[in-house]
Amino acid sequence: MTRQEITEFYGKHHQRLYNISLRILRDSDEAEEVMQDTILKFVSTDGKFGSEAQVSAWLARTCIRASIDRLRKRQRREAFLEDYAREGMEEPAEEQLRGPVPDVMQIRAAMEQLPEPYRLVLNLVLIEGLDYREIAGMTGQKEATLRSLFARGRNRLTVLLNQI
Amino acid sequence: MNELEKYLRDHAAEFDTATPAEGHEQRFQARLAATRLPQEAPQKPVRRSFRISRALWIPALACAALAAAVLLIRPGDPFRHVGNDPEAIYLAYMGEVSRLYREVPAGNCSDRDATIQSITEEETPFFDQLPEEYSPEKRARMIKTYYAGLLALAREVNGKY
Repeated sequence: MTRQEITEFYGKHHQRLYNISLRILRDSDEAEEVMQDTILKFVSTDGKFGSEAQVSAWLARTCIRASIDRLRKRQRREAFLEDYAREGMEEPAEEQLRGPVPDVMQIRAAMEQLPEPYRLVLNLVLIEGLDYREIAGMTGQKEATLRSLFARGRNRLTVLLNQI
Repeated sequence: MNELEKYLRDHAAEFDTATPAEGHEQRFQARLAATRLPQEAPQKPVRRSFRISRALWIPALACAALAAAVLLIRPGDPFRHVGNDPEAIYLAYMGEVSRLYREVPAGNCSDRDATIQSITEEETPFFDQLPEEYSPEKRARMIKTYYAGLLALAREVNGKY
């Protein structure tokens, strides 16, 4: 890939990767750095991919993994989801929306109010489309813990949206 | 999946609206300028050899070449330069897959592509499925073995088309 092609590649992928990282880290400077690290890591290798989808998937997963690593370092705790998981492993009864589904802006604002572990798991499952096994590999948590966090986070989000 | 979950999955792309702070392109260009790209890496210098008597040198060279051929060189091994970084291994693997796609088969290309795709594409990368407690060396060894197996199958199938 030439430097000109890399610049075009950056233009094509930077916004998605920046948003992926920003949702995890909630820090614009750090998200930009992770996004650029991810792209530089890709272009610094000889690897070539068979399809555009494979490139996108590799970039997204590398960006998510790097963002989670940063989050861990920032919190200076290895098991950064554990405190919330200890609230109880059983999944709570599901809260239901009492009206129509709010729009993206309202949902995004409500998600910003969630505690970090819930927001992180909801983002990874619903926005990034990862499954629990992948997230377990990235966070070091058990799938059951992640399912519990997801169910609790979804309920808290539903409660917040019902207050709109 | 409830209504809210479905809505979020369907509208995931709409959450990617934030943009980096002004000047991010320039900051990237500065970092890129400081990055050595693979194609720009200098050639490795040729090592000078010691002057040793031919009587010793030739058998030693023969033994060394044999050992290297058996243990080290492994021609065609795409992972020999990538170390233990799972993502670098994966990139090397995808590079090999890409080379397979570029080979033009004598037979039906779309059938060949579909078969190779079904062998080589993963919904969840293998390196994300390994237990965290494994050492980096063990993880790398397992990942290389796994992808080497997939590549061998893909090459064999590729030869049939």
